[in-house]
Amino acid sequence: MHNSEWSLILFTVLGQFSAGLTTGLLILHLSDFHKTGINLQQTLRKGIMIAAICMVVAMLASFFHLSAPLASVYALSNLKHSWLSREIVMVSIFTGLLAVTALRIWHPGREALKSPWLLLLVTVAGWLMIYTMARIYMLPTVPAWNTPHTLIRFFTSGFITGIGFLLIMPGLIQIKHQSFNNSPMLYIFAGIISASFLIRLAGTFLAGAPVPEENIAFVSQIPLTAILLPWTLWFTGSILLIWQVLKPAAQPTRSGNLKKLAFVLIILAAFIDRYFFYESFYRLGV
Amino acid sequence: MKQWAFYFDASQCSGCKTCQVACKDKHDHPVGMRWRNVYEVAGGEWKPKGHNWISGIRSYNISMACNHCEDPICMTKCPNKAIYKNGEGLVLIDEKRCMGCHYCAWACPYGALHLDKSKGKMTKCTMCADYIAEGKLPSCVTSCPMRVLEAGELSELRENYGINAESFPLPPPHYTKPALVLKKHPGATAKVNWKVINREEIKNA
Repeated sequence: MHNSEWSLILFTVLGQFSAGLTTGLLILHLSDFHKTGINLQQTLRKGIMIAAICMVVAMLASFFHLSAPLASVYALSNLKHSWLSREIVMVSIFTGLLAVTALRIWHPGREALKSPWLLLLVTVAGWLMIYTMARIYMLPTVPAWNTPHTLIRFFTSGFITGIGFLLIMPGLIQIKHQSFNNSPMLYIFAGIISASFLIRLAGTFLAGAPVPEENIAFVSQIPLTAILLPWTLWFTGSILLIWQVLKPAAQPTRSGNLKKLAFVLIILAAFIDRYFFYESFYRLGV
Repeated sequence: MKQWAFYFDASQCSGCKTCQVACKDKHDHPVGMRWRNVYEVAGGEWKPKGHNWISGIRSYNISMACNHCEDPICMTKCPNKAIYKNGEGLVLIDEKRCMGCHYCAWACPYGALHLDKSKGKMTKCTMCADYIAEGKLPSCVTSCPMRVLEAGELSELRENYGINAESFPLPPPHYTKPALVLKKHPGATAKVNWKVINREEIKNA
């Protein structure tokens, strides 16, 4: 792996996390939060602020990948053909909308966003950003990446990390309101994490696109650890989180700590998985 | 539009790498940067026959730089439109527009694009465009002691040598339509476990 790819790991994982987090916040907004004792305004404030900060960090990290960042002013020149140009547009739109939402929520005297439209717009921009991010890597000359598995990998990474974080956010983690524990919203969140995990698992079968083997000069030697380590972390983290969401430990502190541990495992899985994604680069030819 | 192209005869290449050195010398490249690379390819195995072992090992060399493709994937993928084709069919880089994102290098199946670390810009074979403008041939072509490299109009090279542009480890030509005519080494048609054996030398050049 080239040193500069570290910035891309940070950029993609954090970007997808932000998009996943806004998706979770939108679900929260649309759900029965008022019956659950959740302070929506506080949760939205913190959630949007964290998503915005992560996107800013992600954007800064992306510049470290460029050898001549000042020339990035030309980066929108090839919208017709280049997914990288389109991704730069979507990252800018998503970050801009996050900033607008953050300003709107944090403006003194404002109530929480009463209408979910702005949040819906941010979420859709986030999904489009993940789509364009994935398409960059789906190059016809790079068979390891040119599969639907790249799309699945990027989207599910966003959903699992983003919604996973929402479930450990202060305000939600320590909520003692009885109706919150029985809220269908928790089942929705747990369902999204489970579905993402299962789709990801199923997606691995799409990873092995047919490759004319005689044309691959430099096939990467990916060790078995590269497959087993992230999967172990994804599995343990997701199961632990879902278990603690649906059947929390009797002591709230213990349950909270277990959820935090689950999230740490999930975020580790996301970074390690992305590292091996870049390591798996090989292309046709030389 | 004119389309300059390379012709390479793999059946006669001795792998001396004079083309690599001539290119580095002409363009004053630092250590580690090579616009032209010679890939050493080998395959086959030793087989027992009675009390003896018979060699079935085959090898050949492929000298490869940018093929100034008719449909260059580096050009279509570049977000900055920093890569363009000139009137001679040469694929060139506008340094001012390049942000050094490496995307072209990921996409090119001929390993033709390289980062010039001192400038922070991607660079590639220009087919010695300055020499061509003076009516001369690229330095790799004129330096080759085996005379296995030629440069000329693609249609003329195809007329003289055929249309093949593929031999392991090169990709099928439909991806980028390389302006390349290649005479295969006769052994290259064998179905053996071909490998690039100077991998460490070539990698990340």
